[in-house]
Amino acid sequence: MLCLLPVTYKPLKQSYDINALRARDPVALDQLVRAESGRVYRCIARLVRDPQEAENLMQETFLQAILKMDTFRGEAKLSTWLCAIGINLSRAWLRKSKRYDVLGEDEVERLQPQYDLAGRSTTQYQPWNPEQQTERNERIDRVHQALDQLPEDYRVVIVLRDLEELSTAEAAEIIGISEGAVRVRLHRARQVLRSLLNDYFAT
Amino acid sequence: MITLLRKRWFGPKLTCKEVDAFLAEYLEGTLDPKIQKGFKKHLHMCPNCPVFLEQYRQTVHLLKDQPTPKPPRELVDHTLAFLRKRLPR
Repeated sequence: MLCLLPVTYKPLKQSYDINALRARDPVALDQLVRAESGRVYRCIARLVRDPQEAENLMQETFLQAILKMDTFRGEAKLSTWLCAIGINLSRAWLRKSKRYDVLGEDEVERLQPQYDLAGRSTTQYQPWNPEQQTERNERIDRVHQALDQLPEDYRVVIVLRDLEELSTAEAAEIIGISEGAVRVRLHRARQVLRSLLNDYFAT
Repeated sequence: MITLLRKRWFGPKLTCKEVDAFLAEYLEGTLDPKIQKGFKKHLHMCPNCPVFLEQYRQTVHLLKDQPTPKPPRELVDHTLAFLRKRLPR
């Protein structure tokens, strides 16, 4: 049932007339796309790492959002809802394209730090000095290569928390899991990346 | 009694595994002050965990140093044109 009462939602800087968006008012659509496309594009681009595909997926994100605007109840921020749609479309594209050779869950487990029964680390860690050892472009490439190996679930949480610097609460809302699950997944993902980067940077 | 006093004064005695579990909170500055004592004490005593902590911190730093994807200049116009074409009237 269409809600006929004025529904406005106020994010930090913008206020959207949801009824106008539901009615596909051109001014409302223009306002939404101008305000939110940058952030949505960034989230998608960081995941799919193909600028043309990121643009395609972003357009599809807005289309899906407008077509489903009747289902938006206003409990979440509209920008969060948009990101969630964008992330889901990106994940579907990643699965379909199978572009990257990602690690299996058993390898993710193997790359976590290991401990004996008393909780002592069984690995001797060597210091890194990435700034001295490599140029910035090479460091960026190494991190990209490591990120490309992460399974989707882990890549998404790294993108949202460490690259886009969203809060745990917002990331949880976008992904559709609890804040506790976001923290666990983020920590495991960072451990995998640390382990992969150790091969390049350990002195 | 002595264990309780030791825990209060020096903080809980943590293992490497427990330090790992609290790493992210420690780096964010949100670690419970009661656990922080034990955490710092472990870092002081264990030869391995400070190096591990630094690797973890550098991993996060390297991630945050990734360049920000720049949207194409025509992104908004293209998107609005796409929507005008695809949305049912």
